Amino acid sequence: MVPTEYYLVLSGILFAIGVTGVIVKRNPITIFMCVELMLNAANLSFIALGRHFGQMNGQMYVIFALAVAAAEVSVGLGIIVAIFRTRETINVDEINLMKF
Amino acid sequence: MIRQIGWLIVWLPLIGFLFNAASGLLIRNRETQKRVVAYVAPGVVLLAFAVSLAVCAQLASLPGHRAIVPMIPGASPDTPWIDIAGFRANFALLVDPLSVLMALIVTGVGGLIHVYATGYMADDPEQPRFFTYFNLFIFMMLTLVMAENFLLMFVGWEGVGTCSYLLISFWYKSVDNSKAGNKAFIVNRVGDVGFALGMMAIWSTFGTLSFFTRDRRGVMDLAAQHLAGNGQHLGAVPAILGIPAITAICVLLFIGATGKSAQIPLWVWLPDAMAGPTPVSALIHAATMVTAGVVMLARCSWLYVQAPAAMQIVGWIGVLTAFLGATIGLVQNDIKRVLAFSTISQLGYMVLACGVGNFTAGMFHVTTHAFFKALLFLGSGAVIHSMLGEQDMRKMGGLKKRIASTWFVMVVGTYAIAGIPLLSGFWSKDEILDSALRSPWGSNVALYAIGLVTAFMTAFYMNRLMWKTFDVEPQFVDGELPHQHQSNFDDDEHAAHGEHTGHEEKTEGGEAHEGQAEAEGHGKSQIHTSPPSMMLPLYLLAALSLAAGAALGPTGIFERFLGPSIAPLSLGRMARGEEVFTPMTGYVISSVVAILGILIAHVLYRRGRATGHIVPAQVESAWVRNPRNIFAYAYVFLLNKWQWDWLYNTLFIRVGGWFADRVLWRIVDQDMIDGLLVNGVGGGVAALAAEGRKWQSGRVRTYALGMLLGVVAIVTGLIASWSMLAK
Repeated sequence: MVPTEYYLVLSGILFAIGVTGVIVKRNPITIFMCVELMLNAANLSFIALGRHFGQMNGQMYVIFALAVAAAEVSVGLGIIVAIFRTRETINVDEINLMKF
Repeated sequence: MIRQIGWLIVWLPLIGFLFNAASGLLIRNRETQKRVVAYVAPGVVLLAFAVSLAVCAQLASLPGHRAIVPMIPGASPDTPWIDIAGFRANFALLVDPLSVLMALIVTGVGGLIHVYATGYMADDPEQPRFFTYFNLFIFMMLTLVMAENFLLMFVGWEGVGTCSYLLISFWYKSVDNSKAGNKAFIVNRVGDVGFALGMMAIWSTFGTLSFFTRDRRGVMDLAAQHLAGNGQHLGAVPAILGIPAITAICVLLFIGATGKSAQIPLWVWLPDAMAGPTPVSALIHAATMVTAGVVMLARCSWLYVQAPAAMQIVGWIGVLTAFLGATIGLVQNDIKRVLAFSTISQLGYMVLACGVGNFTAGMFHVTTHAFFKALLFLGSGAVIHSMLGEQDMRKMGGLKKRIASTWFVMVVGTYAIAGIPLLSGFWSKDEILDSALRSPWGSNVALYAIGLVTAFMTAFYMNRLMWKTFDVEPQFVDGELPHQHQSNFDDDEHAAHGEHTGHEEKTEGGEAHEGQAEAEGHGKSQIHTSPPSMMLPLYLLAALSLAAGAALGPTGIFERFLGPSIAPLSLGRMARGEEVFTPMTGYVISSVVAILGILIAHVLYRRGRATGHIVPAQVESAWVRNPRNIFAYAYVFLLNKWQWDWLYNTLFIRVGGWFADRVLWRIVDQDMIDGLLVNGVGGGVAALAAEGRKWQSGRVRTYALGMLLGVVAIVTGLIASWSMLAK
């Protein structure tokens, strides 16, 4: 059996990749994918720790997280489409109306 | 009995005040309102006088000639007014010879002046407002003299100051009047600081503010037993700033007295206070309010006799003020200003009497002075009234035949104040001079000599006033006198009003304003006699000025009456000095001095009869423009009141103004408070924000990085604290 630490380390690496992607990427689609990566990294540690402690709670939370993430992605993609229609760009660095 | 009616003395004028204040709402018709007020205002004061007489008659039957009466009818005498954390002041009146004497003077002389004012102010459209203030003043003055403790006395003390201010600037349309009111108010505040500090010192030393209490724990009770409130001997009480507490208290209280009683250095407000209507000058600035300081000294005689150092200060300030007032009085030209300076001078005598430990003589002079100074002021008011508002003596003269009755009462007043034998002023002034000669702390010859010189000058300047006003050739053209009666309404309005009331009074049957109608046409005499309401008080006061002194002084009635209120000198282990000469020699010396002053005035003014000047007018104006010789210099020096106003102007208005402008305003207020604190904080926040808002770049990635760093910081902190806790 694979030890729990491996899962946690893998989860950490995936999370770090996701964070890096969110910070460096300009395309909101890519950013979304990175956010998903972070969410799934968290899901992975949920499941791993659930197995480690022999509890169902970890898997329960993962289902929650998946449902919320799906809803969030649909809303987020809707916003991106709406932005593209009005501004003809989805480069996040150019969407800076709220800047001082 | 006293407990049942004592409160009425102060309540009656208060009721009068409230009624007069509301009379405009109650009575729609202005003329009816004025007529009702003219009865109510003097009525309540004279009723209060009747009550005071009843109380006075019962005084002898009281244990220790003293009673404490609740201010609220039916309440216990111990009803607290303020009772906080051990500090207690009662709402009660002290009835003892001193307070009853003052109540009699205030309501008696005050009542006569009220009656007089009904005539004097009859033409003023604002007569109800005038009597509202007048009644309020009587109420405050009675609170002052009858208060059971220092704090209640202070209420009256401030209250009379307020009324004085209101009445000095009664004709507020003239800037000079309101300035004079402000001057009186502000100068008095300086003295009040001393009084307030004195009260605090008394509280910290004695632990009470009551004068006398029934269980003998009041300030004066304790002082009479040489004890401070904590049971310490007075000599052993802690010093205040290195001065024995009792001396410090006396000096601080005396600073208050210099303000109210117009002593050096705070006398400057009194001459300007003459801007008010003449009854105000008579009531407040001559007969009653200005004696408050002397009353306070007499009330605190139990403290003063145990503070010889403070008594020396009191005595010297008193005699110097007497001298200063008399010298300035020699050269003034405004009839009321001469009387104002004579008031300052006489107040100096009273304070001198207190300083040399003869508080009874001081109070005796307060009493006789109230009679003859009220008489003189009211007489001068009648003169001014007759002259249609003219106050400058250089434009008077020859009034002796025109208004003979006024002349007669003024002569009585003049001879009384000058100290002609057997008149009131003679007895009280001689008593004071005698006490000065037997001063318990030395300097007796100096005090007596200055007092005598002052008496000489008093006789001179009062007769100068009489000559200039009544005896010299008329210095005005009858029929061409300008109408100068003051009022807050412009001339047309006033003239119309005057005509109106003139008419009404005639229908009433008084020959009151006989001259008023005549005054309308040129060529006829404008000089008219005053109405009976103005003359009657004058006759009564003249009778008192003639006889009261002889009746009360040499018979010893006054001394026996006031005795229980006044501390004996022996309480302070002092004694009056040896008799230098017999009383009869003293009487002769002061009579000679007074008669000499009168004679010199007669000789000089008989010579200058045509012009009314001793020195030709051209010479006098040349002196004022360019003082070259010593006489000219002295004249201008006195005319400018020893340059006191100039000194205060330079010291407080110029230097103080410069300090306030350059330092307090520009540096402290503008630079430090506004610049550093108010704008500094605002500017600092703005500068911080100018940097901070650069962080809001609009780059989502930057925000995300910030969030990440924040999360990392929080998690690191949590882990660190967990591991700390784990240890």
